[in-house]
Amino acid sequence: MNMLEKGKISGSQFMWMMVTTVLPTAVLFIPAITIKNAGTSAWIESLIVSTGWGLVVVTICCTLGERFQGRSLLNYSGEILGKPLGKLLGLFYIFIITYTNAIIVREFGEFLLSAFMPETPILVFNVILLLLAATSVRNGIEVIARMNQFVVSLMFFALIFIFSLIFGEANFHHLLPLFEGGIKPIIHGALTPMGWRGEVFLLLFMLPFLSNHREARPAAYKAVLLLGLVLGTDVLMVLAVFGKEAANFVFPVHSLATYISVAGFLERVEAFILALWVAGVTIKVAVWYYCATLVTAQTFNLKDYKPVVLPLGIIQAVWSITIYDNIREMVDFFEKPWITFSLFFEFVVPTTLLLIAVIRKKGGRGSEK
Amino acid sequence: MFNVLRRKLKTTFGKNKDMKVSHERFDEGESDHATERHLITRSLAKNKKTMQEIFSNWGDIEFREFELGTAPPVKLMIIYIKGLTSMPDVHVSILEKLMLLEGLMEEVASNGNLHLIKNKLLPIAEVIEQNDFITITNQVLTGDVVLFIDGEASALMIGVKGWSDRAVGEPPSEPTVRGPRDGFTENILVNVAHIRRRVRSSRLKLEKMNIGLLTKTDVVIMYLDGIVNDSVVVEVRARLNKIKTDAILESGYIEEFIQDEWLTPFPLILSTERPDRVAAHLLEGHVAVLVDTTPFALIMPTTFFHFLTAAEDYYTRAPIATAIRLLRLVAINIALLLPSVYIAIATFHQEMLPTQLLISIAQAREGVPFPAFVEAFIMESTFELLREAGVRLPRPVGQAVSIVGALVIGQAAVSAGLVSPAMVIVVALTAISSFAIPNYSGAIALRLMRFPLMVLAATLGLFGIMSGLMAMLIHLSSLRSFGVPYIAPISPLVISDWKDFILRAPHWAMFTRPRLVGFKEPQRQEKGRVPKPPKGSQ
Repeated sequence: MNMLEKGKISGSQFMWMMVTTVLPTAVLFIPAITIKNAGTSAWIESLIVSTGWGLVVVTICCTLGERFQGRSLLNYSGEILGKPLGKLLGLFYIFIITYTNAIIVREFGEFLLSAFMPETPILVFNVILLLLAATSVRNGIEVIARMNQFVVSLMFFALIFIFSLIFGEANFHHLLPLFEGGIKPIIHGALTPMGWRGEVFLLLFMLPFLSNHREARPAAYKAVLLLGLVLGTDVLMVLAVFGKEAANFVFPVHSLATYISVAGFLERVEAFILALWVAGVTIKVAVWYYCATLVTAQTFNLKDYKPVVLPLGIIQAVWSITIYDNIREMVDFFEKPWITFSLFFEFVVPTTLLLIAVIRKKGGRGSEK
Repeated sequence: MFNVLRRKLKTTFGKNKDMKVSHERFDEGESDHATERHLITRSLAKNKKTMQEIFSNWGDIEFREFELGTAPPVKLMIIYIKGLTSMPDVHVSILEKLMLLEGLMEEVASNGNLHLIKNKLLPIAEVIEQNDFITITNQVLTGDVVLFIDGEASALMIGVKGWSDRAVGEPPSEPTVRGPRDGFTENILVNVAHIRRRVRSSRLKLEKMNIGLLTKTDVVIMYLDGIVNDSVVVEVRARLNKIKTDAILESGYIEEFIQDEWLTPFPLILSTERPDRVAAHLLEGHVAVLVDTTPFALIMPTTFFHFLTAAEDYYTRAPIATAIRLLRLVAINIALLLPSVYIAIATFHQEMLPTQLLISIAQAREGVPFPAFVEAFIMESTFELLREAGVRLPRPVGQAVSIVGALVIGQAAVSAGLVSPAMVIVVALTAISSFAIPNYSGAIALRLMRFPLMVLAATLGLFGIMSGLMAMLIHLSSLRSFGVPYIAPISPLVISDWKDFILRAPHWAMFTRPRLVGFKEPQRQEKGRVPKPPKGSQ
């Protein structure tokens, strides 16, 4: 394990990486889907229910990680499940992470396509994103963490920029009535975002790089809470400005940015926001890509993960084109299959591993070394 | 394995098999002349003959035979290179003292003439005994005078070096409004003296070495013991020792040999002509390397932001320095991004411009036959050509030609309808901003990065620019200069170093050294003594 990556990251770098693992594409897609199902209560759902779910996932993953003193998942899955099943788990996660990354790349490519440059073939965007991510991956996790510190400030700047400038257009009457329809729409609307918030399960693979693995739990909690806050505000502002009709947009946040008009001078600045967004998505793709190569290298016991970078990149590039025919199909995927898909590998698998580890009495209590 | 075999075959059977394999030549070390290690003999005639053989075909070596004014007279001979020695010293301190021997005729010491001459007759500070030809030859080549004494087995190397040097003046590449105006010259002893005058501490260490087989250039490593990171010093020493080459003519040669990464437009070692800058960096824990025959000293390790600061930032007052730094930050962004952003907006994102501005630019671009990218590319390339040509022109002509050339070409191009006036403004602003970047190597790196960004802007708009900037960021994040990450203090995030990053904290607030370089002795002064007038003085 140590030969694959010598880098170390600090607790705060870890926290910001967790934020970047979810935030960039979640901000784009979540509002519309949530509002469609939950109506005006969407912001409650985003602030409370999804965040709660994120905390649950983090708790399970951190407990599992601490039980094994911060080793990587592939490292101790053999202990829990037995060697052959452990390898199978590795293969399973290679597929999952690569596939999800391809989805992420496609998400952003679709965004760029529909919002900015409809004539460009989507392959161009996907390949550029993957190339940038591949270069970061080759440089190692320390470089990714360092760039992330820089890039996350750009993303937050963009968000604050949009939200503060659009505040004038917000009409908070759109938020009423509250709890229309009761609890059921809220739960219904929470299902898809839960899959997104659960993406923090990637921390299972990044625990070994922390200088002190005990810092993972508070850092991850902070990340989930921050995510909850930001995404909650996101949904809130979209609802406030557009009302329930926002369910018909695909990228409400982008439409928000289009609405900004300051002194008749600062108008149509969404291209500028987009530019800042590219940085965030590149790092998100890089983090997922890195985990994919790491899991591959660990499953097959490779000495170095660098030779795997390019093949995985090609796979992701091709997958990102072929998985959906158009954006409607993609949004439909998020509304239906994604729920079970993400629930399974984010929640069911880690919980099962934890239960089996407890039952078979594997791993320490976290206080032993 | 295969390569070893191939090399072996080449040296045994190949065409150039009698040519020495390169590493053998350099391992021989000191002498480029194939002399064996000769010791000098007691016979002056034989020594003279050997020296004449060594220095055959040397027009400027002078041989002067004379006699020591004792009774009986002893034959003496001095050998020197006329252009490198200080002739008045040769006349008065050597020849006069030895030939005339005022009042010392009777004293012929029992332990021989060498002892007599060295200890009593030569009033010169640097006199060393040598007895092997190779060292003597090398020393003569650096400007010493060698004195051979008939009957003695050692010669005396007399240090009376003197040659004409450039006078100390303001460093032409880094002028300041406020601050010292002495710059380095080509003489390494003078340069070291400049630094010693500023750092008067016994902890300032100096290590000499000679690099370059044929040039034998004096290279000096300087650092403050106890503050500097020892592993950096060890690394610098090791890398300098590994240089095995013919010639070192400038510190740039050394920079290329010891830098961490060559395939990058960004410089990883800072070069400067200002002794105050070198002193400031030494005091923060950096290592300086000075090279003879060039006024440019090298400082390492460096971060990217060292290339964006000027020495003047520390001599002007803190609020002013901060404002100027902010201005410089804007200038850097303009120099790098303005042409690309103009192209991206004019081609892809016209909606971002306020309506009035959009109409003016559209009007301006009305008759222009080229798309925005080609326009920008032509103008930028023309400007770079003008700038480069302006450097080569002799000074009186150069200023006028480049300014007039730029104006005339710009104006003529606009009148001919080849480019739009907006483009000329963009290029002019970019050029002026790039001159605001203090360090030449840093400025040129950013200037060159402009062109790929322009291509990306023309093909993919703002997304292209952002991808280009991300690629640059990825590259910069992976660079290290002697172990220090290149874009510290941004990442790794060292908040304590931000007091000297974009803001410049007043001197009384800068009580720690930059953490990644000077961590060995982090505190440099007492904390936070805000200057205030004494109570009750109002």
